[in-house]
Amino acid sequence: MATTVDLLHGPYTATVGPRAHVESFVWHTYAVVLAATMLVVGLIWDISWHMSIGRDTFWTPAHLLIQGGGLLAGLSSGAIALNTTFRGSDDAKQSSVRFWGFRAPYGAWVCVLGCGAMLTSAPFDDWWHGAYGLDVRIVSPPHILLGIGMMAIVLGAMLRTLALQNGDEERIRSRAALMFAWSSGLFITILGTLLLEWSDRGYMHLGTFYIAWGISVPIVLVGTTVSGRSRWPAATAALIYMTVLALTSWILMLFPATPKLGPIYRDITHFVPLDFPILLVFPALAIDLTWRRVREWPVLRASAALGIAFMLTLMLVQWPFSSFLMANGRNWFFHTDNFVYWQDIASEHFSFQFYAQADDAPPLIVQFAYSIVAAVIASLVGLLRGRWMTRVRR
Amino acid sequence: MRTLTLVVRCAAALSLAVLLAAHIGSPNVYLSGKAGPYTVDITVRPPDVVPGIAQVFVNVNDTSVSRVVIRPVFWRAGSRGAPPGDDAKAVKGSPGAYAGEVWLMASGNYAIDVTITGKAGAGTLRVPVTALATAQRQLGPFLTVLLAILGTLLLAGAITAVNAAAGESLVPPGEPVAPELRKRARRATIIAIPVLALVVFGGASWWKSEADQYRRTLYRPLKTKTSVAVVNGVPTLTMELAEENARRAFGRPIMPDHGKIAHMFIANADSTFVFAHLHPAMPGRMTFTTPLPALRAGKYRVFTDVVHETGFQRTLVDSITLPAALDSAGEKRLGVDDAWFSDSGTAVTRFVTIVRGHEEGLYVRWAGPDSVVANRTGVLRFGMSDKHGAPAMIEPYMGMSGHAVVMRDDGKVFVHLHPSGTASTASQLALDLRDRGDTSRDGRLRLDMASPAHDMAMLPTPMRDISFPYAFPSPGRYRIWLQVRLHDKVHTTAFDVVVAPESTM
Repeated sequence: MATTVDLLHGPYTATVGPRAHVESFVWHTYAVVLAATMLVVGLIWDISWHMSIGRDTFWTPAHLLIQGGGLLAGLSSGAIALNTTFRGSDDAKQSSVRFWGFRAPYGAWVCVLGCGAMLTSAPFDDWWHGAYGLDVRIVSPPHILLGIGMMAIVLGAMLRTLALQNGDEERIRSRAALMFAWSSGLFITILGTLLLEWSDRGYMHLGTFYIAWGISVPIVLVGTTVSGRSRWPAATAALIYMTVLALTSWILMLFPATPKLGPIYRDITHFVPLDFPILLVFPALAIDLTWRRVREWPVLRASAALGIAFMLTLMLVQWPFSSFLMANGRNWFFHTDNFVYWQDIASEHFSFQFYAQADDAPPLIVQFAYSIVAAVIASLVGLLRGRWMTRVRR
Repeated sequence: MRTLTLVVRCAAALSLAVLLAAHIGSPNVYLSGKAGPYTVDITVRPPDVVPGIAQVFVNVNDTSVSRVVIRPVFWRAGSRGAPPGDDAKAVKGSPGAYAGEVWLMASGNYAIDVTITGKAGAGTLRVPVTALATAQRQLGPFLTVLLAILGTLLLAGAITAVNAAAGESLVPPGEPVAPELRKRARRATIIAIPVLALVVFGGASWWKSEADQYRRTLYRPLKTKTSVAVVNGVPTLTMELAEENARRAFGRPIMPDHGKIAHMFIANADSTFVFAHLHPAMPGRMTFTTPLPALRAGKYRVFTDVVHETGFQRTLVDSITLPAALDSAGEKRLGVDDAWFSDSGTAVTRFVTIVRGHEEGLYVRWAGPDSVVANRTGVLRFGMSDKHGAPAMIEPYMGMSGHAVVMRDDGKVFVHLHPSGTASTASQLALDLRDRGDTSRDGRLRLDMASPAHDMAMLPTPMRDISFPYAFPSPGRYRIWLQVRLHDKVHTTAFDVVVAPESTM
């Protein structure tokens, strides 16, 4: 008999064996889920900071939250690797994965890599700003490297929760399933920020928006529905994405902020929120429901059903919702008064108009067909990913 | 070999970028003036990448000063659209010296307002600064190695992670890894390697396309075609802007600076000291013309300074070759403010005072600095006296007590200085008018709202010396032409200066 520590519930006694050693990694799971949450909230805060205040330093609260999240994930994962490798029993080692001679749970290694990518992006981003100008774009190579690092940490959190969810310990399973949905929601939130440049509400009556979301988001949602053990895994994850994004924005809007960069074309008094979340809970529900019917189908057919269900629901919901956003002008609840300081006053008018189709763009119906194909491909990737995730045990 | 080609290309791009700055090769802005009751010297080092950070150095000769605030004002948004100012910090060990930074987020013309507060109250001096992307940076060797190592580790880690994802991570705790699973993991790894290579290749292509896109935003000079022909018996220079400039840059109208629509400086490219400062007319939106004085045969560099209504200062660069000397027919057509000069220069060496005599009895000498070192901010000072050693009675020349032109012998540095510094007065005026809202409905400046020309207000003043705040941007051989007006005639004196590298002094 020996004592293992669950940080949330205090010490308890369990039989030492591989199963118990999986549980001994539970504190690490909580740590990386917390780290992932810090990263995502920090990211939303940072984008809002750039929209409202503009000027930043290494030490802004949003940056500290992101860096803190990265460090928490990296250091806790490094610690568990060192502990398992040098001080772990044979059973502990047999519950972990070998990586360059060291041993740790698989999710921990993904977190270490994520932390490494984030660290690598720092000098790269610093140089990038010196070479091509200070922060003006979200999508740049160093930012994408940072985003990949952050997504890896959130993926690490998903894998850690999966290992518990897929384990034999009933007591942890349901909580792990919820944490898995939480991590998936965080993953979608990061993905959503990388898609921001194509997610402006002005794009929501064009194919661009649907293709961008179709090619990426089903990978997460289908993966979650396939591997999640809760009743509505994808819908829960989507709801978490919407809640985290909307809630963080609503809270940020309460705090004063004024631009510290010019030219300023608009008076800003409080933090400017990001756009209102995409109503992803509905296409996610469609994925959950469809999966129940198609789980026995061949992979390609199932992917086609899932992709079509996702994209048609997204179109059915988001098209009229974006019309609603456009029609109702400034509205704090739906974040439609989120004008940034550098936005010319004259352009406000255009903020409530959908973008026109480019002259050389294919007809809308063809673009929608592309978006459905994109969603089917993404669903296939998501399905394969989900099947793999159901088998993750370490 | 490819690396060498790349390095050569980068070096060429960098040198080209330096060459193309608005004040050729000398982007720093120097301004001396009054901020309310305080006399201040300001140096602004603009960023060479936009958005970027400009460094601001302020020297104020008053110990009662308690605060120096610097604030960037973009011409289009004006003071109302400017962020709150930041305090410049006192430089330790240098009383009266302050340093700070401002972020310039847009390309174009800015005013940096420097507000001094002290016992005598508060006052502001406005410094026009142009924010332009002129440099293309490359990764340094340390960062290249660091990123290569980190990148390799990440890639190796990703490959190992794929192996583990398809292998050991799927094994229930306590169970051994089956040989079949190992084989599958190995297969997944073999597939992952080219996929990851593709990701890296895609990332590199993206980086290259971003760099190419950035390169397109670099400031480029307007293309001009300059020719000399005899028109109605008068040797005439005509400079035409290429049609492609019409929309790209010359869409914004230009405004007079010191009452002239353009200031053209013609300097010989060989070792003689022929120089002319002329003021061409602008008969068309894309054409400048001026009669020429009796220039010798030879190759000349032509620099033309214009100021747009945005306050943006632009120097057009071209060259002409005169196969034979010009006659003097053009001199009668030139204006009273046009001046030309042809003589050997006066070499400036340290500790030697050189006196240059003019027929009216003006003696000009180099009065400092004793040692001329690159990048050391100071003043170029010239002593002036009449033949009896009394102060010279200097008359205003286009609103200034004097003008100086600095050119490196290879033509890659060129700047037009005033006693107040490098800033154009028209540029300051444009920013002031726009800020006050003195613009017409279509955004044109209401120049009739400007204050009367300085010449009207200035009378001949006895002057012992004249100085120009400046720092030579790089070592090399420079020529300086000083121009002052005496007895209603513009006198030009040339000096040859060798600027030492920073580290040798």
